[in-house]
Amino acid sequence: MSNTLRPYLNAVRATLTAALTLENFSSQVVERHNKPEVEVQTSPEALLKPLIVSRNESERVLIEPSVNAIRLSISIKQADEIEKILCHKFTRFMMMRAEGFVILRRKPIPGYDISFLITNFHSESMLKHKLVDFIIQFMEDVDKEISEMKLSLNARARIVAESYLSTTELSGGCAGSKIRSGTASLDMAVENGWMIQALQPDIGGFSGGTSHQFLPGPPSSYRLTCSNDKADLFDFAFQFA
Amino acid sequence: MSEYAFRKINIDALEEDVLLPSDLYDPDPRGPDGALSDAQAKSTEVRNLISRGDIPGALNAILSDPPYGDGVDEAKNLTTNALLLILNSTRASEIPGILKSLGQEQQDHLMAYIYKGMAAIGQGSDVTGSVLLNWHSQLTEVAGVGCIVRVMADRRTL
Repeated sequence: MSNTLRPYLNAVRATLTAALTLENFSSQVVERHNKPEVEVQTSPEALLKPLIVSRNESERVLIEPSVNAIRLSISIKQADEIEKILCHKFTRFMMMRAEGFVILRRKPIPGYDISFLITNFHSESMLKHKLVDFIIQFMEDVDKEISEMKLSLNARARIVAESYLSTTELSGGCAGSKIRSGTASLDMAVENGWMIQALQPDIGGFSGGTSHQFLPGPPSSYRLTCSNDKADLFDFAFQFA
Repeated sequence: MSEYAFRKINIDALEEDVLLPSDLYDPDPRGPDGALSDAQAKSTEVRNLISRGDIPGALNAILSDPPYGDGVDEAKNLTTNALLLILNSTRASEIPGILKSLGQEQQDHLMAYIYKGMAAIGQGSDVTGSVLLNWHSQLTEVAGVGCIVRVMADRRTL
């Protein structure tokens, strides 16, 4: 664990330990019901002040204590679009299996990525310090997990692009394959070198290299060529894949 | 049938003996104007003390009788800004000594302000998370977890 993460987790641990003082408390509104007060929010005297522990804008934890339940919401660091998607998929995967995690809430609080709801029944049947350890462990692992997934996703995409393009090299000739994604599509073929014909004029900036080969195809103003450096082409194709 | 969701009306809120959040604590005895003038006096005093390098004195001054409750937002903002200025201008090695010199009530108020500062990160506050987290961990060491519990249970929002 990095040294900058430790004070953050220690603060969360202290706050969570302080908040996890729960007792059985029947609903004051509905007879013979026992509801987590922090969820129903019906009696203001049973709610305590919510606390936020934050490290920076994107990483923060909201702890909402009440007499018989606490709600803990975590906002996970998301640096770019890929991390955003991975984080969404990851938390969704877990929240769909929320009953397997016992204390996980099925939906996060708005503004946060994942929420836990710990009631007095959980704290009675499980050890309090183990519950705290679990949350801290989760917060430690989730960042690691997402950055690992991001790395393996990039590596896999690279391998796919590479093997895909090497098969087009074998087929050769002027009938290239297509990579489609979003609005960009490009034709590729190999004849004494690499060549790209782009059907989208807005991928300019991808300049030609040493050897060029042109194919009969779309209007010439749309054509873009690249050098016969394979790595260039892979990178280019990868950006669109 | 009806234009509005009548089943969703909270009829308990219309009763006479309903408990409102404002009934849970006594309001600030100074009133909004008194709290504001008090906060202004204190924040100038704090600035003077900081420029003289007297951090314990500044912290002591700002943490005694802070404004709380509804309707004193301006006084609260002044006090919070002055306090965050103190936290920012303290050297890390001096923190434990300063914390030990504070009384229990002042430690609780300080903890409340630390949480308030952390909640404001990312909303244009100039104090960084690492400074606040450092103060938080030192204060928890000195005052214990009970300090956090007292912050949570205190109905008077600082």
